[in-house]
This record gives sequence, structure tokens and C-alpha cells, in this order.
Amino acid sequence: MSLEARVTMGSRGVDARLGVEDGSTLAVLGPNGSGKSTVLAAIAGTVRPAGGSVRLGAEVLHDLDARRATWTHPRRRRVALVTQGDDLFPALTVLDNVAFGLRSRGWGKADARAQSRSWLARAGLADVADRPARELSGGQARRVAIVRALASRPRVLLLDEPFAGVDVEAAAELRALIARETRDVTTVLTTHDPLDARLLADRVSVLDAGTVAESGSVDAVLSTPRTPFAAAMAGRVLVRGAADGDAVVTHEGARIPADASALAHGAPAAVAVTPIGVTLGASPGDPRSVTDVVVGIEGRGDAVRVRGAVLAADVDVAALDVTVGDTVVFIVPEGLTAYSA
Amino acid sequence: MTGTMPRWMGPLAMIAAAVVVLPIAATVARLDWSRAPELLTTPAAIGALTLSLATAAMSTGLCLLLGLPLGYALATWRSRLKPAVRALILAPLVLPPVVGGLALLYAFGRRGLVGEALEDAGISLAFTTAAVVLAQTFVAMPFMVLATESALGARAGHHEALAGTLGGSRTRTLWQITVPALRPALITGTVLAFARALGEFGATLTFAGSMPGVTRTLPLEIYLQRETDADAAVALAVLLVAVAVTVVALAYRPLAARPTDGAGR
Repeated sequence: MSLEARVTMGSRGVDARLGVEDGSTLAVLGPNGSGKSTVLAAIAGTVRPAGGSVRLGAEVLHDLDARRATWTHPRRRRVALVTQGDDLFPALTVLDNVAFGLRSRGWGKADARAQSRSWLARAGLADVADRPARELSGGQARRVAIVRALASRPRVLLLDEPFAGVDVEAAAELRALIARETRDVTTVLTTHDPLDARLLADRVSVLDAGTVAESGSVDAVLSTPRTPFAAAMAGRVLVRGAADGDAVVTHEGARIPADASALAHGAPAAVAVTPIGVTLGASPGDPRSVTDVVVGIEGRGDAVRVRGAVLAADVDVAALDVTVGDTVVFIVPEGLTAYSA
Repeated sequence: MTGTMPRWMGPLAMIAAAVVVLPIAATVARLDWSRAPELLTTPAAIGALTLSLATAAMSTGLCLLLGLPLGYALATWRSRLKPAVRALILAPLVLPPVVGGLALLYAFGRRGLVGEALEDAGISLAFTTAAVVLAQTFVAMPFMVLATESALGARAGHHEALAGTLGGSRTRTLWQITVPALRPALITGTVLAFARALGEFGATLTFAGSMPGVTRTLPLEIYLQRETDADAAVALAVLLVAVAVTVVALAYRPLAARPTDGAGR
């Protein structure tokens, strides 16, 4: 069943519209505080938003905009939510945590436990089944929470930042689990990492301060973003201007070398540049060079991002010899393609 | 733990401890150890102790059975009347026990508001063991209600909400998630309620009277013995203190600000 949701919550500045096809996965990509958790909680019904509606196939889970508002209790939605918090019930064993959903749906104790044990085994968690839930590490607990949600046979699975607060190794195991087990489950996952969207999702919606800035297939949104915000979330710099054969010309007159031959001369065009592929050159003689002025320098782990007014480049710390205000020459990578903006 | 306390508080803390401990120590000092075994094994003493333990256990059970739902209701009830209703429910804490006993008489006595109807139905409460249990429940209930309400109020309800998304009914959620999380508070409430019930005197005397073997609990026996044999009263008093201190020491852990449940973010 496909999911259609609109969530409005004035107090948190949220007004978002999402859609997920039956059996597919939508990644909601946005920075912290963009309202991702609120949107998921509203779909699950654990938070009552100010307005909006959620439809699952032909069924209306809630409609708060209707003249007579309707509201389905979370218990009857069959929409499972996994949050960033401590989700496991501490008084129960891992096995009984997983069995909780089945027991709630009327399964007998023995059947529910057997079924839960096989779920845990599939997730590589058989050896922790009989441990108290409170003894698990963060990564294990998150995996169990996801298995528990899946075992309850939800019609929609909601994963709120499933990789937040777990270490790199645990995140890799989680990612594999989600990729394997949610293939046929209608899933919405929130993340601030475009990699998660690439690896796990079919479509992506970029959330900017509570509203959807851009939506589409993962490749369309992450490789050819239309908004600066979506480009930034995808780890790119968006340059917009007019198509001019072998370049995009910005309104300020900067020429970005990119194949724009498919676009009419002067048509609105955009090119999304990955700063890792951009280098700092010595002179403006290179055909792939763009002369720019440095407006900011930021550390980004093992590299330094030199931000110009138009472009940006990630360079090695040791090679950094420019400061804010300097005129620099960026060398863009080969093979850039402009697209219609 | 909040760290080391300021030095000047030390003497005050010692005075506070002395206020409580000195009278108890004085009682123990007054005990005639050679006569104690004999005094504690008289039929009257054993009868009173047995009755006290039995009624206190029953009223503690009632407090748990009824006080948990009442505390839950208070914690989740949204109303402007809530402070007033809470104050009313906690009134037995501040009521002089004799007033409590009178109040119980007016309600459940032979001529009481409810008692008269009960009398017509052939049920007489006043001056029975049931009246003792009722009096003890009346004075001990607030401890249970307070403990439950404050512990529930400190919970974010995160696990309960997730249990809902998994299809868990309210009852299943209560038993598997909420009650285990409230365990420390419930133990505290139970211990305090038991200790209060065990020491109950005024309301019992007023409402239930002092019939040997029926309503004469240990505190009443101590009060009566004081008139005739002070040594017997002291021996019984030390016994009562010993029982109460043992129960509290074994089961009571202060309700510290412990993590209640994992609400992320």
C-alpha cells in the first residue's frame, strides 16, 4: 500500500508532504532540526500534529484538516517506528522485545517466541536472544529495535536516523540489515547522510526547515539537484546560470566549463559540482579553470574546504596556502554535464 | 549524588539524627532484658503482634491494589481540579489520626453515611478486624498514591508510545513496560505504607476500638500495658521498632533521580 502524508506543526515550523510507493523506500534527507522526527512520529501517531493527513492505500489513518477530524490510534495503524532513542523495553529479554508485537496481535507465547527467535537469527542476533535488553550495546539495541519492528509485520516501517549514535562498524551491519529486510516493506527512513539515501532508498525528499525542498528519484535529486539546499545535502555546490555550449554562465559572468550542448543557448542551466573533484590551480590558462574569490575556509575532517563565491574545492590541509579574500583559480573536473534548471 | 555538602550542615544533620535516634535509644535503654522474653511471649503480646502483622499486610496489599490505579489516574488526569483532588486524597497524611478515626466512623460506622446502608445489608464494619484494616488503609494509602504518581510523572512515556505502534494493548503495556519501570517506586510506596499501617494507633482506636484478638493491635496493646506494666510496654515498643526498622532497612531505597526511560533527543 502506498503512503501519502502531509504533516503540519506550526510550533516546529513543519509543513511537509511525503509520498512512498508500495514496497519502496523513501529517504527523508535533512539536517538536524529540520523536522524529520516530527514527521515520522506523526505518521506513526505517537505525536498528534496540528494538521495534515496520512493515507495508506485507501485507508485514512488520520485527517486533521477534515471538517470532522479523524484519528486512528497508533495501536491500530500497524505502522512501526524505530527512533534514535533507547527503544527496547528494559524489563524484557531481547527475545520478548521482538515477540511483543506478535503477542500483541494475538500470537501464543510459544509461537511468538519461536518466530522471534528465527527473526533474531536472520539478523545475526541469535546469541543475544535471552539477554536482558538493557545489557545490549547501542548498535545491537538498534538492530534489535529494527528486527522488533519488522517482526510485528508493519504495513509501513519508519526508521528515524537509524545510524545516529552507533559506531561505524555497527552502522555497516545495520545498513546491511535494512537493505536486506526492507526490500519489500514500505519504508521511510530519515538521515542527514546522502550515502544512506544512495544505498538504501528508491526516492528521496530533502527537508529544509520543515518543508520539502526537493523530491524525486535518488539519482535525480542527489546528482542533479535543483535547489542549493538539496545540493548542499548531497555534498555538492550548485551553480546556476545560462547554457552556453560548453559552459554554464552565471549572472555574474563566471563561466563554468560543462557540457551544455543538449540545452538551447541561453536556456536556464545548472551544474552540480562535487568539491572533492575540484582542485586549486596556479594560473587561469587552463580551459577548465574558473577564477573566484575565497569567501570561507572550513575544516572537514581530513580535508579543508575552500569556499569561493561560485565554487568550492576540498584540498589537503598541507597544501592550503590561501586565505579569505584571495583570488583563486579552481580547476573543475572533466565530464561535467549541465542540466536544465 | 550532588557532591560534598557544606561543612556547616554537619552539626545540623547530627542534631536531626539525634532528634530521631535518641528517643528510640532511650526506649531500648529502658528495656529490662531479663524480663523481655517473658513479657514478649504473653498471650496478649503474641496476639497483638500477630494481629498487627496480619492487618498491616492486608492493608498494604489493599494500598497496592487500589493506590496504584489511583496514582496512575492522578498522573494522567488533565484537569484544573487535579491539585484540589490530590490534596484531598493526601489529607490522611496531615489529619490527626483521631480525626481520621472519627471520619471513618461517620462514613462506615453503624450510623454512618455508608455504614447505615451496610448495616441494613447485614454488614457491620465498626469494631471488627476489617475496621482495623480499613483504618490502616486510610492512613497508608497516600504513600502509595504519591509514590506512583511522582514516578509516573517522571516518565517520558517513550516506551509506552512505542508499545502502541507495535499493537500493544494498554493492559499489556502496563504489565510489561510501565509496572517494571515503576518497581522502585512501588517498593518504596509499599514499605512506607506497611510501616505506616504497622504504627497506626489513633484511627484504629477511634474507629475499631480495642478488643483483644480482634482489634487490639500492637500499638494499642503498648498504650494499654503502659498503665499497668511499664516494662511490658517498653518490651513491646522495642519489638515494634525492631520490626519496622528491619522492614524499612531491607526494602527501602530512596527514590533518587534515576533514569526512567530512554526518550532520545
